[in-house]
Amino acid sequence: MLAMILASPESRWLLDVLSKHEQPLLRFASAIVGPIDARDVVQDTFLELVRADRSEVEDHLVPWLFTVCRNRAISLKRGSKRRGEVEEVTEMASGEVGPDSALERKQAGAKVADLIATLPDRSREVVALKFAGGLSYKEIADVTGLTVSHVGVILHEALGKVRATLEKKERMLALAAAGRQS
Amino acid sequence: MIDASDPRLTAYALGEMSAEERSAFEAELDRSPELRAEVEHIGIAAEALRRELATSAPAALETAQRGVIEQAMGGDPQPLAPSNVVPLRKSRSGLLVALPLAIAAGVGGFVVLGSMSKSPESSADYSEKAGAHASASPKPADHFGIIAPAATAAATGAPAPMESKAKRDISEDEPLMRPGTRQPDGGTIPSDPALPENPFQSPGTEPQSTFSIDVDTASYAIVRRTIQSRQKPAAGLVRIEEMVNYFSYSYPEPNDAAFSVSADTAEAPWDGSHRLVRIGLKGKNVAMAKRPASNLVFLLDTSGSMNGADRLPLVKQSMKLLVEQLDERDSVAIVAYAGSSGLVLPATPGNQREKIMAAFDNLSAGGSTNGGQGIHLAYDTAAKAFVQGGTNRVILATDGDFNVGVTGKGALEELIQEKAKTGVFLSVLGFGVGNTKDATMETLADKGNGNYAYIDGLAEAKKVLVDQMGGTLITVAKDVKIQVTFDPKTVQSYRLIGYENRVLSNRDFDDDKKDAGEIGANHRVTALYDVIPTKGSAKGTRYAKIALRFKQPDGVTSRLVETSVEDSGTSFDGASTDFRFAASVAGFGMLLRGSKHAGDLSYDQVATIAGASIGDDPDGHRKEFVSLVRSMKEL
Repeated sequence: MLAMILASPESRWLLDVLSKHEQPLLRFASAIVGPIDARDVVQDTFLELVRADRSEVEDHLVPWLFTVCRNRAISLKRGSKRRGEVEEVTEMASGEVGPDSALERKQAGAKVADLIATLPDRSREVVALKFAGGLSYKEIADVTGLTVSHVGVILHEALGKVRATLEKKERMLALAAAGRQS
Repeated sequence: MIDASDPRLTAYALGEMSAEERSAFEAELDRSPELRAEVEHIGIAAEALRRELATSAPAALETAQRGVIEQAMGGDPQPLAPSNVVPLRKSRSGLLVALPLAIAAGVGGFVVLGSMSKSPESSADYSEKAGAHASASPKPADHFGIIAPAATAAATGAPAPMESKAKRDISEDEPLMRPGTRQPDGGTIPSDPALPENPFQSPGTEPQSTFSIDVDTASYAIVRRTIQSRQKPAAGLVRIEEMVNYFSYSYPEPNDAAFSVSADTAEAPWDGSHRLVRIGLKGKNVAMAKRPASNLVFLLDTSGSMNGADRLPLVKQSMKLLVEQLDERDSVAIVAYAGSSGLVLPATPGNQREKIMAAFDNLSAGGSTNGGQGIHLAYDTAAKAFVQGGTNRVILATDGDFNVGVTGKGALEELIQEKAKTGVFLSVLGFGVGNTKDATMETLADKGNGNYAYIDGLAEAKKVLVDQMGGTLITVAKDVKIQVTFDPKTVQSYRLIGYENRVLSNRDFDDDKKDAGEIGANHRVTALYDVIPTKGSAKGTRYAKIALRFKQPDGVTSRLVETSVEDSGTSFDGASTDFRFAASVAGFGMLLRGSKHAGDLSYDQVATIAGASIGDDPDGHRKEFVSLVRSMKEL
């Protein structure tokens, strides 16, 4: 005699997809359009999913979501570039970081953040799909139209740059420490 | 031949190889330590990227935005049967409100989350947007008062679980974990700031010192990994008691009791005028053949961040090691969250190894994490297979990157604590670097009457899950508290070394409602006090009375045992091997934390003392410690 509370399978599926992919999509979109617009882009992505036919999407859900998200992000970015709003986007982005994390950012992550910002668009996309979205090489290839081996090369090179940045920072810290000692 | 420009190094580090490719590649790596190091550096760089991308992104959609999506879903072509609906309607304030009266009678408890908008204004903003996007005319969101665990369970064929009271509140309070808190260096494990070290106290004003035991060992494994990746561990990661307790010491066997207590003293290595008091506990040994049946539910994090050789693949290997110890008395279930979410394997007898192993093999990492949802399903699964008088335990394996939006830390702790009262305990195994939220994982295991270990490789997995499986799985006493009362006539001041986050107030000692640490079969627990005597050391001087309270694993009232500690007049060199070794580990921890009480102790001295007190070291852990101290010195 228990009234089980069950939504339709469709809604359950959508809610499940939403909770599972909301954060990776936000991280990915954030890397392309900044944190404020990222939310809009991801909202649009899910609205698109609501309209889509589950049976046509389900077997390649992750590439599908990121493809939609990427398209939205790119068109938004193009639009704002035309309207000259790029600066504003960046400003809002840094405005979102609280004082503590802003300080930490200066001390540490800034180098990696700068590096991500200076990557060519395609590399940044691939990096964000991998490290923000958690996609496999194959899925990244599906989303971007690159070959799997090209994805591998792009990631290898991007990680090489990150390492160079981190190691440079380490050397400077070591020099600073040595300077204090002498 | 591989060189550093070979993209396969990255593919390997990111877990992008098939099993055959991987083993062929590993054979090549084995020939070249340089390339191994290369792989490790790639992993660190990948972590830095993950962290950066996580930190700069918003954690979740605005509640209102989520509401818009859910409202668009209201155009669902398969409407619900009215009797199945949780009625939600728009209240006058524009908020969506659940009407609980229709269901309250029939259902044990349910959760409404997600669709409650807290901000009517922004809700209005987004409604407009929804109108523009949604093709179906937006209906009121009338069926989203559903918590996802029910959905997960139903989707995997398990009956929708009945929720307990604690489940209701998980969503609103502070986020459990903020993924990717930025750290000042490349691949270290984020830590909370270190608690200040315990000060010297005078027995004249504060004769009693009360604390909970701690059998965790994670801190040492984390410190080891950090030093091995050539970084200095942050003070917050150094919990001295966990470092000391990582190693095994010989203490008297308890006869019929759950555990034995002993105490001895010798000169402190950092100051000849101080005495070091050691209190040792040893849990009774339970023969594996006589151990109680185990009902284990593995709760495995399969989110995208678990990609990489030191995470999901290591989790699988580790769990398999544990499963190999089990037999037909036991049952194993697997719940995954994110990626392949849901009940992966229902409770399965421990001798059906092939089936269990195949379930592990089928797991893959991907997607984001919602630890909160998985944990409900895990507890429900454990409750269904509950073994009276046996070991009932959820074993959580994660890098700690829980989703922020849905899970509140306070509510989760409450849930875990409540489940521990029903007899289902929680152990936490930490994996990977970067997202690992060390202090939170320790807290969760603490609340769940379980232990927390950090698994940085197969060797550590073997130590925790095979060699010390009894301690990990069989609790011999719970809520073990220690209260030491120092004599002001003989002791000028005293200081408890470590246990900073286990200190209890003196009145909690006799309060059976206050939770404390558990001791497992064959576990050793060591506590050290640094004591300054009033008139130097003299053989036979009584320094303190030691009282312990504990409960039977399923008991509610505590028992009391008492002993006392007298000075044996021993010099440091005259102390036992175990005593000297434990002192060297404590000293190492104090140096790592920059303790002001370390006197003239140096890493060199620590290495010398430890090197001379290796004794019988079957697993090589003590030898490894000595070389770790040396590596630290070179950093």
